[in-house]
Amino acid sequence: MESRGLILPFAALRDECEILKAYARDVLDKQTLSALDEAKSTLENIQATSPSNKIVRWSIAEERPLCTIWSDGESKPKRGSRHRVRAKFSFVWEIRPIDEKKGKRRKHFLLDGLASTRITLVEEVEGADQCLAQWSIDVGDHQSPGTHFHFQLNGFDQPPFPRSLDIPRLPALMMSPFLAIDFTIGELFQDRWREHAVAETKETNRWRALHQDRLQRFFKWQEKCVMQCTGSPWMALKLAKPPIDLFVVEAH
Amino acid sequence: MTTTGDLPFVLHVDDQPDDLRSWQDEVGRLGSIDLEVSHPDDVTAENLSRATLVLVDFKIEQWVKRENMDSLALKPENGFALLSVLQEAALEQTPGQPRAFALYTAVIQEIARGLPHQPHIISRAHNLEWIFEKNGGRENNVTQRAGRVAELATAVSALPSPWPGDTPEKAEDALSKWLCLGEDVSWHDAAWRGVRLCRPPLHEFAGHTQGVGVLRWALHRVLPYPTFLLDEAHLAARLRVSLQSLRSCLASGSLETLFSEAEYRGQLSGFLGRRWWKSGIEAEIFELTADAPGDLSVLHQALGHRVPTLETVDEPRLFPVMDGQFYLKDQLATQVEVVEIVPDDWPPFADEAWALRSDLEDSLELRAIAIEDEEA
Repeated sequence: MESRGLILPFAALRDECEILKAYARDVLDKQTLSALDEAKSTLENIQATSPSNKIVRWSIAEERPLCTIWSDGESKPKRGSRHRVRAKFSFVWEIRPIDEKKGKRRKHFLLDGLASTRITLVEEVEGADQCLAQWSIDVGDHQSPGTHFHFQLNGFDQPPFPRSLDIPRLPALMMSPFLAIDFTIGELFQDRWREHAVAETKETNRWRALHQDRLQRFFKWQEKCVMQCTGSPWMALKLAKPPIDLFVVEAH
Repeated sequence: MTTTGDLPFVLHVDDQPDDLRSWQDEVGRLGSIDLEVSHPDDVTAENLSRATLVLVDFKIEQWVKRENMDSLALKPENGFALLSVLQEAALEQTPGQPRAFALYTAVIQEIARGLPHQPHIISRAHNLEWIFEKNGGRENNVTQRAGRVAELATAVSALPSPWPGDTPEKAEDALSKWLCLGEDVSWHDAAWRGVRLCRPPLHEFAGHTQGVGVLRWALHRVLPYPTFLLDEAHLAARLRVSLQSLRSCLASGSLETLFSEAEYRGQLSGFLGRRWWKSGIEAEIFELTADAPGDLSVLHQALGHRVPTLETVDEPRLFPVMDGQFYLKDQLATQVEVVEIVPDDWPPFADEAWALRSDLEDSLELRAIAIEDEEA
């Protein structure tokens, strides 16, 4: 058994790429959807052929991001925002496949290393995209300070939040790159995404099935941290490192 | 099996059989099928039941017995009508035998009746496996056409009979073998997932049609579209190389080693031009960029090293684009040049279709099906 990092199932992450494409189709820029196909294929190939003793970068490249369509005022309810913006998504997860018993197909990978999803909101200024906001959703490693799952805002050359200042690490849920996209779309399209995401459709049902169990496990772990702590509950959450098999559904 | 000796038997029904002697000779030279040309009067229960593939001419004018009939219901107006008669007759005689039915015509524009002039679209609309264009058409000289007829007949012969639909495993195994998906390739699982996403009619429908439903799925829903198989335009787009240079490299054989394992070699592999398993290509790209998966510059360096004549294109994405008849154009386009289109019959499981935004101006057909992103 590995001692650090997080074990995650290949199949669930692969399905996230596939389902997000259908689930969020109406608000994603069609011309960038192939980024999801390529991410899915890369993961399938890591599962099939990458050595289990080598870290591989699984990513959507920053120079070829997945984008949303433009949100024209929809970042506030009733189109009340004055901003016309869209989001660009990229991520890097450093992972390595975990071998099963001899003759068995690999089912899991270990996330241990860089695990960062970057979201950039841009607006159009004189025909070019200009950054309006940027944050990342990161998964820490065994020695990272701050909450293990966190947001960071330090993507800028100048204050506020210059790149050199790596605090605050705002607590986050366990978010795969694709759940982070779901989150951002919900911010960009307040009314529309709420209506879409609460409806009972084939896509929302599949999306829920993927994330429900993972979120449940996350909250149970957080609850346990709070209930069993001796000092400040907040510090307990800040210092807590998830068990490596927190998200393993079946006995590994 | 429906063969004379080992060869699949093709029954070709035409009102002027003598005009088809050179065609028959051309097919005969292939040596892979046994083709007989018959006037409608001469079609017998025996040769119909032997046939793996039935071809019928669309325009049937030299048919005296038909003209002498008084009852309209006894007068098949054209090849479509005659094919329906023969389909039902064959089903009555040999209900358990897989058999394909196709039209053989010089007038695809006439029979399209407003549909795009594409054989798979018109065939699907008329309950046929295929429509062969006898004069011209795309990539359609007589030798190629004979080869495609032979390929279709062979693909029917390769269907297991009866179709093993009693368990999911047997049905999946039958399709996997028909597609020649090797179990020893590293990308097998991904490829099979890709196949399943395209909803092959493996069970009740395959059983009901003696497996011909599977063949029809491949002909009408898979091969003409970007699905788990890619054509050369989609391969070029994925590699971010020019279509012309990819074609040159394919013609010269300089890409053979690189993508040989990924090339589709299952049934109908040459029917609409070469195809590659998408997962096989992705696996090759992954291997070429092992230290930086997804990095285009690394991919281009690796391609340049292996195939220097391949012309890489420095664009984040490239798109195959279609014309007003939904044929792919001989060019790839960049992100700013394209708009998504959704032709009526485009399979929901296929990758997106694209057209040049600049073509919308002159094409009512494209304009009608273009999907502009909201707020784009």
